[in-house]
Amino acid sequence: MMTEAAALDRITRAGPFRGFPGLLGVELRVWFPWRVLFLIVAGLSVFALIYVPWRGFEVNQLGPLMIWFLTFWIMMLLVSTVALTEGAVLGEIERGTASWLVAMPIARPAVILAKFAAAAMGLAVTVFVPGAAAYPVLADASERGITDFSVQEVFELAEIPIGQWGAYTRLPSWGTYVAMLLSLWALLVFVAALMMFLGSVVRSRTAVFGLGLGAAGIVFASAFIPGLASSATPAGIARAVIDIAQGKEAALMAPVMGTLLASGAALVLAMWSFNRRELT
Amino acid sequence: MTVPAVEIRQLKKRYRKVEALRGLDLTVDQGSVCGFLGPNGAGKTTTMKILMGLIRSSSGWAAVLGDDVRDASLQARARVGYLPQDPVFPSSQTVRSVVASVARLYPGHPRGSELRRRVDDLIDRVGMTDKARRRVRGLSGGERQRLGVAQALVGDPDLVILDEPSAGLDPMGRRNMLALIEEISSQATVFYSTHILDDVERISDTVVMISGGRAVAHGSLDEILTVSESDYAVRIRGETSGIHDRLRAEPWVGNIDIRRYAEIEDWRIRLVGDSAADRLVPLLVSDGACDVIEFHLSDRRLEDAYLELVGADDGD
Repeated sequence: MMTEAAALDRITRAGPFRGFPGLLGVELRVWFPWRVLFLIVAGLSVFALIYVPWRGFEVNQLGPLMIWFLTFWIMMLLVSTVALTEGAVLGEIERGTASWLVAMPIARPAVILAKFAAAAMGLAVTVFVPGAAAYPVLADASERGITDFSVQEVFELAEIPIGQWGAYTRLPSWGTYVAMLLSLWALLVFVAALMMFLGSVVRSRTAVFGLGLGAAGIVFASAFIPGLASSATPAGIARAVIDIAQGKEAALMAPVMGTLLASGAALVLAMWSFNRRELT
Repeated sequence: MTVPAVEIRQLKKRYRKVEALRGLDLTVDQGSVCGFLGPNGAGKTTTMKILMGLIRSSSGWAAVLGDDVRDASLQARARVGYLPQDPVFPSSQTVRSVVASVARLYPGHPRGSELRRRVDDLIDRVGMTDKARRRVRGLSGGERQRLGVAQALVGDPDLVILDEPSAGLDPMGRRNMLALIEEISSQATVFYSTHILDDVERISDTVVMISGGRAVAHGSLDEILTVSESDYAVRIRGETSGIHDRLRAEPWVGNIDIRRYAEIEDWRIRLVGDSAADRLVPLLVSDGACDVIEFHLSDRRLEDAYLELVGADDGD
């Protein structure tokens, strides 16, 4: 045990991050194992629900399979992130556990930071595990799609443009695929940071949930709006992910950097707001 | 000279249109057990929340163990254990994991087997060893309070602030809680709020009474109980109307409260002025129509003092 003076000195030096490791431990127990397990199973289920009937069709094409999988998976992850983080701050304030926590020798910003870090870690696992598990199956579908020449001929005879929905959708390389998953994770991290901010400033959980869901919906829908798609915004990530799924080239750097910056800003605002909030 | 455990000067707090604290002054010396008394809405919980940095004062100054709660709240909280009113803990965690989680939030906390030993000691100290593996959601109100005390003690605090620690407890739970507070007081200053005056008389050595956001009495229990030494109890027999009228006519006699039991009457006489008592005795014995059987300073209980001090302030 350190002396009291040394302990107090450590508190002073730790500043706004005082208590972060201990709080992170508490918050990780919120996400691991059950929440993360649930999200992994849900992600795999989405893939299975799309892939299994797909195999029954005579047309085995990669493009539609990836599009449907990623669309539903992203939607599921966005809604889940909103649902699982809407009460992270405001729920604790309402229940009284926030008062209990901040009466300890911890800095308030560390509470928000720990919640965000735990959510980011949980979401990383929920993105990469089902994403990585899906890749070999997508590769298999890709090979069978490409070798299915009759399909190609049918498309050509019918003068249907091949590429976007055709049999020749290229399977993204493993590196591109991982970059795509990283981008998707950055998108979810942005939503989590946004929820922390909303939970710190809004007084109603229903409003936090509604605003979060609305924001996620706008981000997702914006992916299909030309102009926003290439911008350095979270919507740009959604667009880029869909482009990659269609075998197109997509610039991920700008939207990912923009999204991470927006996440940082939301997080700083959340910490500032929570630091000032009275826990009556 | 040691700094006070709690020092508050002209503390004010306003919630929109409600003025919860209106210039509160109080001092709690280190090593004392200070009961913080007051009616609902008097400002007790608000004061404690300001001390713990949960809310900010509108004006005034407060310090805990010498640390200003505005500028050095973190340092102050490292040396203070706090039990909130209606404590809420993560419902899915066990008693042991709650205490261990709190322990890990303190700087320089023990690790490994030492941490486990410390947690088990605390759980044992509050009498919850057999419930250490039980989840919070399965605890009764009294057990939750005891868990609250355990987590308040985890940082080995110099000051323990307890907000209504025995509220909602059954008689046995209340007795156990008082015993626990007495035990804590051997190692730390205890500042606790309550409505239960008997508890204060039993375990406190200092009392602060608050009403309408201000302290209306402040001092040792003895000082509070003898705040008015001009109350005298007189047991009297015989024809008393004459002496009663004569006393009522004297300007140094305040109030006379009379209770009759057959031929005996118990009077509680309030005198005004320092030398009034010297005049009372000769007047009483000079009346030949009645006999004074007993005469002594009135035994005041905390309840009397509370009703007198807080009741008087309620009209403000």
